[in-house]
Order: sequence, then structure tokens, then C-alpha cells
Amino acid sequence: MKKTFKARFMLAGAIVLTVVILVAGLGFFSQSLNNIVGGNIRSYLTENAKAAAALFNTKLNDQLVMLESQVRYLKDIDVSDYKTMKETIMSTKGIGAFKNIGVANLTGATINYNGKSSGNILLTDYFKRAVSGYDAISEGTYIDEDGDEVLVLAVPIPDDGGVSGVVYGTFTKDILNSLIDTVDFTEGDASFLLDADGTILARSSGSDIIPADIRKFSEVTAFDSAEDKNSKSFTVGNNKLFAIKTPVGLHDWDYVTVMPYSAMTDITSKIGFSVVKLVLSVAAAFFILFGSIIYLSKEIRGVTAEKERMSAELNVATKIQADMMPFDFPERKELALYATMTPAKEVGGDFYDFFFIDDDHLAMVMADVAGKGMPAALFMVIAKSVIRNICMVGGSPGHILSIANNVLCENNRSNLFVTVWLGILSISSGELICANAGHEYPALKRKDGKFELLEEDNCPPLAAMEDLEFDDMVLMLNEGDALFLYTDGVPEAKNAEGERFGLEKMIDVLNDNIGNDLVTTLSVMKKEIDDFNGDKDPFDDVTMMGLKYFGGGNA
Amino acid sequence: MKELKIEATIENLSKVFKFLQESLDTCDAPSKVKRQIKLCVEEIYMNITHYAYNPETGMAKIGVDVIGGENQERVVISFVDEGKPYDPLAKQDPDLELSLDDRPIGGLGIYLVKTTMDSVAYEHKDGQNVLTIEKDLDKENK
Amino acid sequence: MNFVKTNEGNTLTVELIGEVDSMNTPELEERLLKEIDGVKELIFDLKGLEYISSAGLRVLLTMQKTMKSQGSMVIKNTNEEVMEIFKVTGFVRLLNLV
Repeated sequence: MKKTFKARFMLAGAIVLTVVILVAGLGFFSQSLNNIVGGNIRSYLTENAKAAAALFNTKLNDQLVMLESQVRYLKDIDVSDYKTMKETIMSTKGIGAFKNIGVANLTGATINYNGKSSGNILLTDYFKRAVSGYDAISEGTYIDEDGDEVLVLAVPIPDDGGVSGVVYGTFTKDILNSLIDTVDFTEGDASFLLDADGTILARSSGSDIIPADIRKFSEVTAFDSAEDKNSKSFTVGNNKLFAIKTPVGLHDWDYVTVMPYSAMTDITSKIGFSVVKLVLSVAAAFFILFGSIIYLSKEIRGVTAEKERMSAELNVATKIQADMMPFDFPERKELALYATMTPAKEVGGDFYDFFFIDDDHLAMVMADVAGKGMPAALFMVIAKSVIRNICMVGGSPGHILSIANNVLCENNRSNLFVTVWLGILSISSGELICANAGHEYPALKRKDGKFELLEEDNCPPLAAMEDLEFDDMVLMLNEGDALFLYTDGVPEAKNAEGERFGLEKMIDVLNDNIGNDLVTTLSVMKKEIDDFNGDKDPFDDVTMMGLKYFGGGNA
Repeated sequence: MKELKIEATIENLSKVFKFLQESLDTCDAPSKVKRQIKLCVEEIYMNITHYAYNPETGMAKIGVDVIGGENQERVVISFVDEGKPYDPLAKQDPDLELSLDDRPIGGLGIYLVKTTMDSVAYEHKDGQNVLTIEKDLDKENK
Repeated sequence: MNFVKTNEGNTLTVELIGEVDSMNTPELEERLLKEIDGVKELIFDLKGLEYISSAGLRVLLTMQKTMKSQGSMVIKNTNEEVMEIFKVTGFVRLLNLV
């Protein structure tokens, strides 16, 4: 078969390449070997930094989306009257990760959630941009009314084709620092976020190799504008260090990772042997993709191109997962939808998806691939694509999962399986048809009731066995009903004593937040899980999706 | 720890069961839990027979350890084979030699193991696949 | 494992007693496929079934599919532990349990 021949050719090519590298490595003096490996370390660290920078950018944009949701939920902000502005903003149910949020009218006058004013922001860069109708992130930090240095995010309040005001949110440097901690993967390094002038906006914790009182990175070293402009070896005190700089893709900001040179020499021997493993991993990745390529859309081709580089497997997998989650939550008056996915240290295979099959039908997916790392990430990409494509062709969720199951079984060399909850909502009528392939029970709340688990027997997960049938369940959603979907990362989160977060606690948190908007509710749930985890790293991805139904044809 | 070294074939499954029964004879677990363990042992062992050395056969080593004091007993069972790197939890890269016809039967079996055992861990060490499952014997069934 | 069958017209009742595992399922499947020739209703009585693994589940599913084209199949008297397996794997939804 042509397909197999091509794949075998790729594999043969990869093996030949591996042999060539091995021979080359063995044939040279250790110095030459170091040079080759040193270059790979640079690539490894650069890929690391790029993935972290991209993820940081994504997370900031995530926060912009949260602000936009705030604008939607703060209905009818009357910015002409200072008193009503104050009442409205103070009635906000939650501010998520922001230090503060506030609203400004067109003259730049502000009033915050805490009842104070942030002064006049008319001349700030973010206000100017937001007032022109665009989401904005401030180019640097500002001093707020408490004297704290904050980064400001701002979104316009739309009003009949124009802008009537601006809603903004502030981040302290502490929050930015912890944001860096969540995107950074390399151990023993220090990471920095620099603005266009090279001023340090945020830094990862535990990064004492660069003194804490440094304000501008140029105080430590300058990156030459010559060929070496993205990496630099330099010395601080008695330590020899190595830094990588990569653009964040926003405001000419840069993301810098610094490593002690001594750590790199430790990596040297490990990476030397890993070179062979990496080549084989890339070859294996290609092989799986080739085997499944008939069913895949352009989305997959983009991902394939990414994988062609010799990156650390984990960072590529994480970037794949992060890039895959849609953020353009629907703006319909009949419903509200929001979802978050917080990956664990090692890609855990969770994903969510939502898309309109047609103007009146919204499909929602919550899924969890068994396994970790690259094979799980690849399988996740395939599963997401397959489910989406088959949905668009039509049919009920049970029928769609049956087809998807057989497709995934056929291409399942990794012996993986994926639990899936698929629901299709008919927006005008409120009819929700769903099918559950081995996934956690959804939680449903009726208008004036409380959240309860929909404990209907499940079908097996997808890709476990071929030729299975999946049952449909029909629910009628009415105005005021809400649905909560999640992966097992929520109930199975463990604390230091090994106790589980548990389903009961999850339901309690949901019921405590019934009056809140989805963004706040999911944010509170995430915080509860983080607090529960304590110092322990989360073992599994935490993925959640919330749906609120306001009725067909209602506002 | 009790160990059994055996050629991984379907016919030897009864020997594996006998070994398991003897090893768990002295431990005080509800019969339901013992059956769950037996099920997981069968599923994992069968994966080795079908997959690890395909199309040939090879050796499998099964170790059973009952840990803990009077109140808390925990069973730890390890499976070692020297076949192709195969991680049922897919941490490793999959086998490239497998043809389209050699469909692994393990999907549902591994699902059973994951949902009934307290911990499942895989390691590829020194050219060996090592899969370890653990079950607490005192907790109420999950 | 013991296989006990009872024919009554077009109805075949099969009792599986003991354990169904990967070793005896090939033989079991072969025998079942032979026995259902001309059968309109296949009934599995599992009161004596103590153990079943994924291989056995696969056989049950195969039989259900085969019977779909010539009649029907039901499973009765599942004990608690076997029912638990059916629940965990989601087979409780796939099989006709009475």
C-alpha cells in the first residue's frame, strides 16, 4: 500500500539519519561531540522558551476573554452616570485572578469593584486602544491607587456599533510571576518577562541565580544585535550562565530563560543519548500520523509541521494541547458557555471542544485520553478531529460516537482509549441529546434547584473495542437550567495526605456558586482544587465546561 | 515477594491463576477484591502473550507482594517482560512493527485495570517492560 | 467452565457455570455459534457464573450481534460481581439484561 510504503520510507530515513548521527558522534573527538550536543541544547532550551512564551501569551489572552465575559455579564452598564457605574461594578460577583477590576467612561473617569477610583486613565496606552474598539494589554506596568505596580488589561464596552466605555482588570507582579511559574517547564532555570525596554515585568520563583533587585535585564547582560542575538553566555558573580531570549509576540516583549552553565554540562551526556531517542520519537510520531492521515483535517497538518523540529517531546505535546482548545465562546442570548483546561506537568490528554453544527445546534465535547505525553497528545488531536468531522456530517451523538469508535479502533496502535461525553443542544427548543462513552457523569441543575449528578449507566470508552453501539439520552433544558462537565482531574485531585477532592466537594462548590457567572464559578472551582493540592503538583489535567441555558428566543 | 517465571502463552494462564491464588492465600481480602485482582492479572498477562513478543513467544515474570501491617494490607503485582517496548498506558512510543492485522485486544482490558486498581505504573528499564499494579485490601471497594 | 444447554422449540437457554476466561473463550464461542443454528431466542442464564474477563465480554457481544439478525438474546440472573464488571465496562448498556 502506498501509504505504508511512504511511512516505511520515512522510518527507514529516520533510522539512516540516526545511524549517521551515531557514527558522526562517535567518530569525532569529545570536543566536537560537545559542539553538536551544545547546539542541540540551544534548540532544546529555545523550544522550551518558545513554548513557554506562547503559553504565557495564551494565558494572558485567556484573561482578556474573562474580562469580555465580565462585560457581557455586567449587563447595561450606564456609563453616563457615575453613580450607576459605581453600583454596577460593585455588584460584580467575582474578579477571578485580577487584583481589581473597574469600569471607565469615555472621559477616562474610573470606578472600581472595591468602590475606589483608579484616577483618570484617559492618557494610558491601554485605554486609548480599548476605546478604539480593541482588547488591550498595557505595554508596561502602572502604579495603581494602592501604590502597587500592576499590568492592566482592558476591553471595550460595545454600544450600538461604538464604544461607550472600558472595563479593565489589573494584575500585580506577583500574579504575573506565578503565571510564569505555570508556563515554565525546565528545572533549575530562571525565567523573565521583559518589556520593550528590557525592564523586568515578571520573573519565575526560585530564580536566585539572577539577583532579585535587578530592574532591567541589561544590568546583567546585553544580547548582542549580531548573530548571537537570541542566546548569550555570561557571568554573574562566580556563576557562569547561559540565557535564551525569545519574543512573546506582544508589545515587543521578550521571554528570557537563564540556566547555570554547570547544569548544561550535566545535560550534555543525557542529551547525547537522547538525540537518538528523539529521532526515533519523531519517526514514530510521523508513522502514527501517516497511518491516520486520511481522516485528518488541515489542523493536523499544522501540528505535523511543528513536530518536525527536534524539540523536547513534552513541550511540543503541551503546545499541541494548549493550541487545540477553542476560546471563541459563543455569544448567543439563549445560552452562556465557558470552559477551561489547565494542563498538569505532563500532558494528560484532556480536551474539550464546542462548535456549531448549524445555526440552531451547538455541539459540546468533554474528553479524556488515557495515557500521558506525546502519544496521548497525538491521539487527542486525532480523536478531537474525528469527533468534530463526524458531527458535522450529522446524526445523533450515540450514532456519531459509534462511527468515531470504529475509526479510532482502526488507527489505535497505541492501544489507547478515550472517554467522551458528547452533547448536541438544539438551541431554540432546549432539547439536549447526549451520549456518554465511559466519561464522568455530568452535573445538572434545574432552574431553582441544586446541582446533581446525572448518574446514568455509561457505555464503554471509545477505541477500546470495535463495533459498539452508544445510547442517546434526551434531556429538555429550560430557562435557568445549567450543566457542568468535567474530567476526572477534578474529583481525583489529591492533597498531600493522599485524600481525593471528591465528587461531593465538587457539587458543593457548584451549589455555592449558583448565583455566579460561569467564568467566576470555574475560577472558584480551579482555586479550590489548587488550594486542595497545596504544594503538590497537580497529577492530572483539570478540564471543565459550564453551560447555562436562558431559553430559546429569550434574552 | 513470590515470583513466577513462565513462558507467556495462552495455555499457561491456568498456571498464572494457580500462582496468584497461592500467593494471595494468606492475605485477608474480600473475595470480590481477589476476583478484581485476578481479572487484572489475566488482562495484563494476556496483553503480554499477544503483544510483547508477537509473532514469537517469550518469558514473563510475575511478582506478587503483600505489603503492610495488620490493618492495612496492600497487594503489589508486577509484570516484567523483555518484549517490544509496550506501555498499555501509552507513556512510551508505540511499536512500529505491528501490522494492521495484529489488532491488540487490550483496550477494554486495560480500561478494566485502570478503573479497578488503586495504582497502575509503567516503566521501561534495562530493556524490560515493567508494569506494576497495586490494590489496597482494607478500603471499601471503589 | 461448564456449559449446560436447554432447547425448547426455537429457544435456547445456555447456562455458563464457573469461570469464563481467555483460555476457554475461543472454544466457547465456537460451540455457541454452532448451537444457535436455527435459534430465534438465546437466553444466557448466568447464575452460576463466577468470573468473566474481557475475552468473555467480547464473546457475549459477538453473540448478541449474531442473534440480532436471526432473533434476540437476553442475559438473566447476573450475580453482583459480574454485574459490577458489566457496569464498569459500560456493557450494562450494551447487553440485554433482565
